[in-house]
Amino acid sequence: MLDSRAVNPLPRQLVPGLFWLGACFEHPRRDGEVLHSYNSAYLVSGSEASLLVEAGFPGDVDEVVDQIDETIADFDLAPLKYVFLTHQETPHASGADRILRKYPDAVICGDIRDYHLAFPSLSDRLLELKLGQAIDLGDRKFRAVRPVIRDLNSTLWGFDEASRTLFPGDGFAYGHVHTRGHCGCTAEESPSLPLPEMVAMFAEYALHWTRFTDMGGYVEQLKALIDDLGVERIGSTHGLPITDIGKTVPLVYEGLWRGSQLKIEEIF
Amino acid sequence: MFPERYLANGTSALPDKEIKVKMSSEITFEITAVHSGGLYALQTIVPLSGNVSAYARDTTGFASYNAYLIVEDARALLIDTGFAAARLHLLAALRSLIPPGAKLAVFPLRLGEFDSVSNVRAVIEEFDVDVLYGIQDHGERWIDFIAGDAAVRRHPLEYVKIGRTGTIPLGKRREISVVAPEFRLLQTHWLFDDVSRTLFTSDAFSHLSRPSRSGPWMTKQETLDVVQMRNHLVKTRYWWLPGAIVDTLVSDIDGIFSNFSPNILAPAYGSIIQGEDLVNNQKDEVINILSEESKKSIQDTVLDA
Repeated sequence: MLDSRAVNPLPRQLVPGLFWLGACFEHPRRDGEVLHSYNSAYLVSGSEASLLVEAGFPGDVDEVVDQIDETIADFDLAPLKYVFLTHQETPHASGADRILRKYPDAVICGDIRDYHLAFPSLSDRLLELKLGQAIDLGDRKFRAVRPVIRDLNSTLWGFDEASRTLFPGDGFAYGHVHTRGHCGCTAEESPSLPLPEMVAMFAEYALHWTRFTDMGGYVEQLKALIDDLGVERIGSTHGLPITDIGKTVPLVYEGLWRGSQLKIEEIF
Repeated sequence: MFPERYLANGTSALPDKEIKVKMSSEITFEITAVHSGGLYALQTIVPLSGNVSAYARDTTGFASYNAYLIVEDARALLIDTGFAAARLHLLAALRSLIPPGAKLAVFPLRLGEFDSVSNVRAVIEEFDVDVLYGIQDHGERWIDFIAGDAAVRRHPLEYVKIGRTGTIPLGKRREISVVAPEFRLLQTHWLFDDVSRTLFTSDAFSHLSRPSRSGPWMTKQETLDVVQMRNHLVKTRYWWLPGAIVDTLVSDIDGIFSNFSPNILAPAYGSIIQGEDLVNNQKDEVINILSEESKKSIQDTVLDA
């Protein structure tokens, strides 16, 4: 059987200075369809420095490092100096050691707890960011903002002020359907993606707690955050990027509500 | 103008200067014989100063991160593998405890967390590991972190994904029961060893940090500290409890404890809890806290930033 991950359409430029990196993760077939999800990373490049959001899933890191090299070279980007990790989970932070060995001027930034134990050789390359603090990349700033939908309580979300892109880690997470040609596409380029269902499914696997709460309050917090920041696009770690907030985000809200209603027998 | 409400109290909008934090691990390591039936805890003792995600920023003192080894006949099972900072200690401990010629199975209960999975690769490279268990698809792709963790396997390795329930044979007569609990944050299993009557609770029942490095890291007596227990839950992994609907969580906890009747609670971090009365006392208080938090609102949730 052909490997459904054999052709990777990434890396991809989303807007000037913002690049989508990563590779698909294959899940068991469902109803004859090949389901994938992403463990994405994003490269945000300013005039003085570039910043990587997330450090990749263990099995993808070598490929992500190649994508960083390729993107910096092809677009003549500023050197990589920061690696922002949304939280201390292996699909998000696994590549920290390998990436920082490759880029000796780079540091890990964000909530930096645990990394001195997980990556002892990096213990002097940790830059703590508090809520609201920003990294200056030259002609753009990258800011740590309050998370809403999260698992670990040590999570921070990121926000690129130039492109108005929110990086919500586990927020806005959903799989996609390889057999419908969704790989490497934005959510809006994938009209056949059953977004609410995929959000609900992913919420059970990754956001178990959402089954035990009324998601209405969290949806209101998300709406307020998006409005207050003026978010124009969303670079989720596990979902296809969202480039039309008004059109796509309500579908995600619907999926979060559906996921909170599912019974466990429907998942296993 | 950046909305002020998103700034932490007393924090300026930009770092005054870039402070690169050198965080010394200062860890120590202990091997604890938990039960005469071949159960050992391999405990990494870590100082707490707002530097680990498993404990709230304002929790001080020390905590133990626990891997467990069960040895039966010519087989052994390693449950969790600890942080990379403790790698050399862990490998030395395993050399001293695993009988020559024994086959080893490894079960990181949380493939998504570094304190569970960081040393899986190193253990596979050194010991005769024939089975890797886990809850995720393609678990063998979740275990490489450090440059140089080569995908070289000296022995055939089977990855077994375990679903909601299962059993793991260990030796001629011993079986480890596996269950996916409802009371969890990330994907995980709880395990039960019927010989030692130990329930391995992953990130649950992990509240017992200590003021002193000397512990105790396994206890038969404990004065119930409801404040410590509650703060640990709602400031870390169970931050979502305020306003949550907990009936399913409570019934699931009660069901697991009723089914297995554990004498020992062995969490992934924090002191090990021994004795049926103390075990049930801790369980009952966790359930009380769940019930009380459910009466609150999601506005009461805390971000431990």
